[in-house]
Amino acid sequence: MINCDNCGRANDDSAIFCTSCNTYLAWSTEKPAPTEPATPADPEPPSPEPEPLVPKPEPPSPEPQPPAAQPEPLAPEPLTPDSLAPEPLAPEPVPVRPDPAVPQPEPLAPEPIPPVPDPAIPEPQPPVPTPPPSPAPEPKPAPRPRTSVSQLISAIDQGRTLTQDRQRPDLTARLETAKKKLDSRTVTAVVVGEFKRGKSTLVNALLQTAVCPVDADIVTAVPTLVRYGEQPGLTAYRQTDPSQPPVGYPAPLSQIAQLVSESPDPDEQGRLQSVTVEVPHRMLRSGLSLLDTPGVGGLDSVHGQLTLAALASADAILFVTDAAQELTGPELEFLKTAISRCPAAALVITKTDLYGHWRRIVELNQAHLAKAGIDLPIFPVSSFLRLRAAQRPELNQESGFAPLVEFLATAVVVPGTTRAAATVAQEVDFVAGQLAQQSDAERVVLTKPQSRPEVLSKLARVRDQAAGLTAASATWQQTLSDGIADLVADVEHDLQSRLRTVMRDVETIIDQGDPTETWTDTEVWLRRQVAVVGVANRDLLIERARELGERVAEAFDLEAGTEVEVELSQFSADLDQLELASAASLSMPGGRLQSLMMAGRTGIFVPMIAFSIVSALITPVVAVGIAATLGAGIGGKLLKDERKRQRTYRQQQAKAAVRRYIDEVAFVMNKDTRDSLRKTQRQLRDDFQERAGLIHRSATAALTAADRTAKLAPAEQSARAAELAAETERLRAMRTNLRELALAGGRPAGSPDAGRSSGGRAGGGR
Amino acid sequence: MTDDLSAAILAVIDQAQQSAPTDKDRSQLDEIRARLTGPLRLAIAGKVKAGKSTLLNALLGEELAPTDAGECTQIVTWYFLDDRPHATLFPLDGEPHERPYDRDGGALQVDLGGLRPADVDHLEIGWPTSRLRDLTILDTPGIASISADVSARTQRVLAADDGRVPVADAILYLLRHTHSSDIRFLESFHDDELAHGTPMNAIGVLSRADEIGSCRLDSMEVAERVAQRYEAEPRLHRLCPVIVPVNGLLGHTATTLREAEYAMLAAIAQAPIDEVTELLLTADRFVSTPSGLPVTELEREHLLGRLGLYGVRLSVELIRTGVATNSSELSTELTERSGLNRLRAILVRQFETRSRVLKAYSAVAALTELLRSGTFEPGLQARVEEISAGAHEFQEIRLLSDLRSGGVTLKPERTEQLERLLGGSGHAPTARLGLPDDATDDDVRQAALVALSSWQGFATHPLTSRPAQLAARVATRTLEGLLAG
Repeated sequence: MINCDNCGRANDDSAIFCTSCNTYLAWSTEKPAPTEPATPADPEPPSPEPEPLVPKPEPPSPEPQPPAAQPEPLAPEPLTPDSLAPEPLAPEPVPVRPDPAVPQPEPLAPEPIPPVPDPAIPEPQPPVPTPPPSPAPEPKPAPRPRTSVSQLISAIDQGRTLTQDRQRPDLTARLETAKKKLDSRTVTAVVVGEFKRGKSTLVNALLQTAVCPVDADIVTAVPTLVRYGEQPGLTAYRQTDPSQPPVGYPAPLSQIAQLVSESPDPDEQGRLQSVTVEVPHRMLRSGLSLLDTPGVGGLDSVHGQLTLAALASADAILFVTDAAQELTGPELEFLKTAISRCPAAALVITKTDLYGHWRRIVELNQAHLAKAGIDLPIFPVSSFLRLRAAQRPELNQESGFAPLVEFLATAVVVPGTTRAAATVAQEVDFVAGQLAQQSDAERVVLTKPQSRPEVLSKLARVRDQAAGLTAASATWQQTLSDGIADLVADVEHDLQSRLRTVMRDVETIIDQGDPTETWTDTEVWLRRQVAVVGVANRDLLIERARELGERVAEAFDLEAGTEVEVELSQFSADLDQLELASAASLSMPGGRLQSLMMAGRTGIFVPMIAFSIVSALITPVVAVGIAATLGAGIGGKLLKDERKRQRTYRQQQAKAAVRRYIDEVAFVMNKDTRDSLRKTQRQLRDDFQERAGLIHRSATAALTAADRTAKLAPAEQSARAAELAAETERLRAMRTNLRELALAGGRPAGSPDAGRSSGGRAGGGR
Repeated sequence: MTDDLSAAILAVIDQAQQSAPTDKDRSQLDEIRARLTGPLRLAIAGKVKAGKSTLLNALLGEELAPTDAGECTQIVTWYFLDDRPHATLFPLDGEPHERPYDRDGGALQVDLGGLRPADVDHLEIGWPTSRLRDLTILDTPGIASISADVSARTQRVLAADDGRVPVADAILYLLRHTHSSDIRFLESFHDDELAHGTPMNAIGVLSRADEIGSCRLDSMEVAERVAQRYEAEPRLHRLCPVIVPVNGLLGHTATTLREAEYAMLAAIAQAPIDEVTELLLTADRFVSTPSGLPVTELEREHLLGRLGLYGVRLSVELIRTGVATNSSELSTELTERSGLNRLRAILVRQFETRSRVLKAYSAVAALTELLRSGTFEPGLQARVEEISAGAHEFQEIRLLSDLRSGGVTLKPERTEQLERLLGGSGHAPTARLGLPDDATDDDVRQAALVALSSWQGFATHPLTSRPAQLAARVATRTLEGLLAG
């Protein structure tokens, strides 16, 4: 039974859409409980869950299950979890794999756990007034596959019990961090498109809330991130000092219109970098956040480049065009470039309510995409109807939003969450590995007493090696510090050489014409080129930093020794990659926006500088130009020479201005490079250091335990052996699960670009 | 002012004609003459799907240019006045020849005779309609089209990249509601000096104006507000000083509204208000909701195609509230609201009175180019330059252009006054002096005298900068002309 949030109708378990109002049921959740996610409670809330990953369950046809067929009254069901739900239930996507392996009493998750139709386990029903006869009477409750997130949470909780048993608070802390990371995961969908195509309205319509300001005249000028928050709130990120990262200031929600709209004051606009809005909306609770961007203005505009840069850290693109016309050349070109930078994308055609011929437009766009070799889902929608559907639910179907919402759930949130889960799984696996090491050592000692000296010496060696890892002279430390130094040099050199090319081109352009006439164009061109250079340079930075992360992980792995069951091999390399990603893109205020800001800082900085150039340069140029006309009375030859001289002077002025500007850009970008790399270095170092510490402690603990076990009385030994066998089995099962989760992240469902794996969200860049 | 200017240019052309070395030169001279004496060439330009062909049809009051939901116009097409209807095709290679055409669905479908649109330079449609008497209209393919060569063709008509004289004398630039990038885009047409891209010859049209306000009933008011903001924007102002919101489709349909269509609209308007609201909620509902109305789905689809959702909503509203009680009233009301009348008035004000100067400007530019390239009498080139430098009309235009592009800086109130004086908002003496249209000759005289003394004082004031002095002198001369005329 899933209760629709929108109209309250109780729907069949397998229903995707509410039978009465056609709301996408994945988003339907119980009322958010005020408690923090940390405290797990025990009852299992019935989950409003669809099975998105399984062969698409013909979306548009809502299960025609009449409510009458429901055996129970509608009301009690939602109440049950309401009172006890520890956590807002996020609509967790379900991975395909059913998981019969863990018959554990479910620990509580921030994720909706499947309604456990499993008759084998009598569900610990919460003490509620009149517990409903449970969903059992449902005729076909196929065992719902567990979500990757709930699996993970259960693994983490199991792990925590073990680490507490073994008195390893360090590992417990590690698990807590992992859990926190899982809880705070985000999946960002970027809404891009030309001006006035209804991007902000689309965001509003998706949420059925007026979040982004919408006006017939004024356009969005600042990227706006809409994400989940318990309390509605707004943060504006401003940059007062070009060499400092933007600082967030809280602002009242009512100010959003002024903040986000195009400001007539270019200074003010330059300073405001981005706006983050937090709303307690059920759809965002899954970690989904929507980034509303300013209109692109074509691939060759500065904004277009910045948007591209932002896409590198996004999980999906919603490219917005409207039904007034088919895709234009610049739009298609932008789309082509954009989708190569992002794991999921869709084309949204808005305003279908205004045009009778929107089906034609859809067909035409389909043809254009096919011709360009782009395979994208197309969603014709009417935001107008969707916004009205809040009052008149029957309009939902007509608005065409259901497939789009389903796309977001299945093709964006699921893979995004899977990727996030994969990284956490690797982390938990690392901890499990540490635990397993000790059990293994003890078991070996018990089962093969003759090999005891060998095991002990091996463990001692591992311990010593781990001790070596923490030393500053460790190879991985060297790799890291050398790598960072190299990286700084390389990235700076790359920027310099790119800017030099731009400089040369600009000089040629300036030489060819009179700056009085060509300056405006030149300036626009220059800004665009510098933006392109900036984005390419950032891409290089991210790519190389990721490589470095891998190299460090490899060095660490080698040094840690293969006999050590650290399992740093395959997965952990990926994991470190992600750690790096967080260093490069998560550590700043604004979270995932960081890379946008990184580019944004240079980019938005660009126009600012350009403005000062214009005012500095245009004035003399114009004055000189007029002076030349005045000389019209002077003889021909003299005038010609004079004109030539003045022109040369203007050209020199223009070049000097360009040079100053490029210098400034290089200065700021290099500073930025160093800052972010330093941060990356610190983060990597701390993480590996901590790991090394953990390994060391684990080895020591294993050694002690093995020693202790060997000295036990025979009777105790056999009891211990049985204990260990059970524990090992549990750990094994847990680790198998974790690996699968980690692997699932490596092959995002539906995405052809499997290679991107979790790294895709890291830098994505090439 | 008499037409000394054209006469002087014609004299040069005659002289050049005699010394023209080749047939080609002679034919080019003929072309320049035709340009000078013929109607003003107005190009309608804009991005793809801005509604260029629709606006053209609205201006002609007749459906000639084909329109479609998809990209439609692929060939530059000239529409000019002729005694008999015909379509002439100018291929890239080969001689121009007439082609048969079809007019089944209303618009002209010219048979290209197996040629691909890419092989056609342009089409010329001769059509007997009074609306083309003073204006030759060029319909252009959209800029930023998916097929790049289509866009390139428009560039050829409008811009003068390679130093060639652009084909059009004036431009009606259709902006859809967009952003400053469009301004940058417009600038690319206007960067050239001299005749080609002065702000004198461009009018901005905020096309598909109803869509800006999402086809709500107040859409045109919203569009008007947007247009005013655009006009006030300095960068845009110097490119096209005037921006008019126009709903081309509505304008076109309004002028060709049929009695049967009115009857259908009236039938819908008589339905209960709830039903009407429901029906007009979306375009889809309007054409496909079954209802007890005497208007079939097919008929409704026709209405939607003719009027657009806004048009239907507006018409129903007008009929329901009794503003329009018959088809001619509805037609008048819709034409008024479509902004078409205003556009026509502005066309007359901005172009038709100035068309002589604009044409002369184009002719001089073309002539200069021709004389420079061919072997003609050496004196001719000097003569053209003399005309170009001496004509007061040209000076006015140049100064106006300078003024708008920021080349001359004066105090804001002086700038505004000077702009008007130079004919920035119309060439009639009253418009130049900023007087109401019905001002008496005496008022005009008085105002001119006041302005004259003010400008004279300004011109001779020792603290006035040199450029400002020159500007003031042009103003003085204009005023003297007004007083003398």
